[in-house]
Amino acid sequence: MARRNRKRARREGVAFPVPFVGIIVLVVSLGLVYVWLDCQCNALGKAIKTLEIEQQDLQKKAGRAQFRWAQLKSPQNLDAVLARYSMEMHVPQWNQVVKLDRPALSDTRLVRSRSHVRAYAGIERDGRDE
Amino acid sequence: MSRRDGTCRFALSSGFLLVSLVGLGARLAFLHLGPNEGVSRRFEKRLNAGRGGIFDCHGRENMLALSLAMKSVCVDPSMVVSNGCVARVACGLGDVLGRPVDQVAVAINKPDRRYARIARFVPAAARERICAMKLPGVFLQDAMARVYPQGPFLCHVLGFVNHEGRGSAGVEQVMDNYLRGCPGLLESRLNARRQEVYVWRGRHIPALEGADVHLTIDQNIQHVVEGALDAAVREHHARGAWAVVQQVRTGAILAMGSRPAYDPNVFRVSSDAQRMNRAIGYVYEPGSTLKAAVIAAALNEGVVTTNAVLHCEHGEWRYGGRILHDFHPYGELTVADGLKKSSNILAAKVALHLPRKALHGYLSAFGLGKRSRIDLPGEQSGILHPVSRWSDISPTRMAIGQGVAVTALQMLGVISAMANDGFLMRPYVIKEVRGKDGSVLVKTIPRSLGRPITFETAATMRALLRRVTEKGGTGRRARIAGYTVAGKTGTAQKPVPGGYSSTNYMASFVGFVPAEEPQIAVIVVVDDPQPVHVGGRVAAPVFSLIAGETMRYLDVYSTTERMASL
Repeated sequence: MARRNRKRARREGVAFPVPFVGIIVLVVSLGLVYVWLDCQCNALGKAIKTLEIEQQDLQKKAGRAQFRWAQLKSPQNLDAVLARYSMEMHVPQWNQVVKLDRPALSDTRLVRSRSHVRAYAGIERDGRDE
Repeated sequence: MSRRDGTCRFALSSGFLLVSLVGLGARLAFLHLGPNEGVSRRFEKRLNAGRGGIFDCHGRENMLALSLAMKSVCVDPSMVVSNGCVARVACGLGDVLGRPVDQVAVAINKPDRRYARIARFVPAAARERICAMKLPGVFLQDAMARVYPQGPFLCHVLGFVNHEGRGSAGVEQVMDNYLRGCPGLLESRLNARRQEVYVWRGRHIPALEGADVHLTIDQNIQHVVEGALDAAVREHHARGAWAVVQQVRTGAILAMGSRPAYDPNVFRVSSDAQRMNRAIGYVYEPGSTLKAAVIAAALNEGVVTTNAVLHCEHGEWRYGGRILHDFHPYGELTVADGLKKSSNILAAKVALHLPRKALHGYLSAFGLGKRSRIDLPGEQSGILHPVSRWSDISPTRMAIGQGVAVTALQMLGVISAMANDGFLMRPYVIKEVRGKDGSVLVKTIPRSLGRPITFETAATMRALLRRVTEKGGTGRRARIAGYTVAGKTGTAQKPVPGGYSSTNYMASFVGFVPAEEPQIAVIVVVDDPQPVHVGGRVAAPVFSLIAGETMRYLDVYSTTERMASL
């Protein structure tokens, strides 16, 4: 009996050899990982391609918008629009403009270096008081 | 079934399974890693680079030229003919595109051809209609169209791009190498749906987009100039008119207009005369405006002074067997008054005080007879004959702007040099060229071309030219409220075979403002104005309009304000 049992055990070991199963599992796993990675790459590729097409479309749209914008804000168009609404606009004459001189650069630097943490309005007031 | 048979069958199945797996694995690896020419279709595509934009001096705010992605309608004639639907396709396309059906049919009915372009740059609505018709052999092709949003505005400076995508005039031509960019390359494969598979992409060299060109031109000043020129042409029934506004200190051109004009979007329907930039490409005899250069030369040489008195022969002076007339007869005049009243006889006598070589040298130093090297194509050099070809009376005629031919830009250079302490600056319209990443590729630096007259002479000339626009001067109509103007009028008879026309004139005014501290110089030339033809009445008001608007637009302190601040 004991002899017969050993033979059966040897036969069963031959039927499912652990290394063989291991190799099969490894190959299948590698294959699956490869296929999964490939799918991921394809999906990313498709996404990039879609984004490329979208970028091109957006560039085209931006170009058309720039074109339209340039037309709209051109001086000729502004004149035409003003004329349509019976409006007249002129650059003011020299004597219609009031000009306020900016404070000298050196004074501004001095004020900033003296106290840069105080509010600007305060600095202005301080400067005037002095 | 015995146990031995079962074991054998299991081993066979396992072996079969193993062989199948190895086979499938090998095939999988072959498909993914091996050469797949039979499975996928390779293709190579040239990636067109977008042409750079052209902007005015305010940068990207004001776009003057740009490229738009459009579609062209194309046909595969062999497919259309083999399907026997030439008439249907021709009718369909002719109807949508608004073109004669017979013309379309002739273009399509070529069975040995695989490609014919029926229409360029088709609007979106027409494209959709064509797609909806599903005509066999008809397809849309990508194309880049060069468009100018403002139509004829600044057309002579911008130029245009021909159908091969090359700049053929103006800035488009000069800066073509920068604007065009460099095409890229894509090598990839298509799947069964004829779509590119990204993961099979081979070489991908992105296109290098064209650089942007920024001009010194100010769109708003240009608008003023073009409006004033249009009004002048209408009012004086002129053949043409042109004007240039230049920054005195740098030589930068702020505006350059020429009439007649054309629309660069449809440049094919324009004539050569319309395309000519007269401000740099048309030479004319400058007339009295050249008196300023001759008197400046004489003052600089010290052969006359502003107070020197010369006799103006009461309007008629015979010299070298020829008679020279003045518009109004004068007796004795100082040099200063002679310039103010634009006396031909006085200018001729001043020219005779100068040695011929010296006169030629000064005119040459002022840039006459040679190109100013502006960064625009089509500039003419004008005519300034060498002294060896001068006749006895040549100096007297050159002094009044005859026997010498200039472009408006050259004449502007002469007056700008007087306004700029004697320095003649190189005019330029290209401020800088920027890559798409914002890096500056080219930057124009103001450059002096020489100093024909000294600081003192330039200051004297500014004072003399200022008197021209004062009471009693010929350029009173060039005055601007609040600003002092210096300049010179010109009324030149047009040369005709055997002499000068008595009916056709070139009216011009060239000057700068403010006279005491010049900021801009402006020249206005009106070709053949009728019936009034005098520069002081035709061109000077146009100058006043352009320079006045420009002064206020540039927010230059008026003379009154300047005096008050002192």
